[in-house]
Amino acid sequence: MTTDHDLRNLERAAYSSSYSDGIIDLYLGLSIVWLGTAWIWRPDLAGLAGILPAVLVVPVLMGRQTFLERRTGYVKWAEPRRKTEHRSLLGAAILGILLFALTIGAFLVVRRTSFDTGIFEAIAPALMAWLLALMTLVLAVVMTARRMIAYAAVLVVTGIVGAAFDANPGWPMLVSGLVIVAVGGSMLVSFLRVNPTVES
Amino acid sequence: MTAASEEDASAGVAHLDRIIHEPARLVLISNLAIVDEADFVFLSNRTGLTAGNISSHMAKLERTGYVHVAKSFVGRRPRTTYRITTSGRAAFDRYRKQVGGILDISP
Repeated sequence: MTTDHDLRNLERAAYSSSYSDGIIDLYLGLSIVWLGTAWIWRPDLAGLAGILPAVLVVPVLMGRQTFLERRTGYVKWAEPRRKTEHRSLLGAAILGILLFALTIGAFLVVRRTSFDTGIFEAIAPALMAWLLALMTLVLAVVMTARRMIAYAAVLVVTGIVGAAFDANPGWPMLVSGLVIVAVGGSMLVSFLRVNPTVES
Repeated sequence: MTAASEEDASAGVAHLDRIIHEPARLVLISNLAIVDEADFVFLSNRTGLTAGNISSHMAKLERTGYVHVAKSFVGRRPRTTYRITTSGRAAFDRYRKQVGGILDISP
């Protein structure tokens, strides 16, 4: 603990471990499963499916905070970390809105014009999974969690497989979501085992 | 190590802040130095120290003026929050410099 580097590493480790409960993973996985199911079940309404995870994000984060404080304790991070977190969340939100607008825009352009959509058709089964992979990479930065990079890789790979088999765009999402739910669930179980409720 | 540098190192060790130098307190104050404030449960999880240990070391750090302790309630649950003070941070920075200096002159 004698150098600034040591302290930075200590802070980074403490911050990363504050996301070891798996709740964000479960939320992300279940949201992707939900989106995938919507694309398979009702592709005509799939665009609206994103509303539910968006609406749930605030209650989930608030519930998680209460849940965590009883087990891992309360911490107010130092100002630089809070600023970084705020910037990253803002960046993620802007990126999310841009991606959403881009997807809708591309969809409308392809639908209303007559130019060759061959390439779009070829990658269509993968497109949603890849966009979600991009969002997951942003989460990897916000949470300083490497497993999010692995989740993004799973989304990219299932997207490629989906495109190769010309599958419904929902399948890559459903499969990836289930993988993420499995990881998040096992993280939550081990977290609860290690961190029983403690009175401060 | 030459005789002169050995003497420098010994003198450096003698001047170390004993309040911070104790391993459990060093771990506690290091963890407080990386956050604005944290409660008892967070520190216990991060350091692996028992409740009794944390209480006694924190009481010492508080008496020295290195840590500010605040007790409150969140709903019905009591919460003890710790925050490193300005003098605590200065002492910790000084300690880190001293130890860094000693390690530099040691082989």
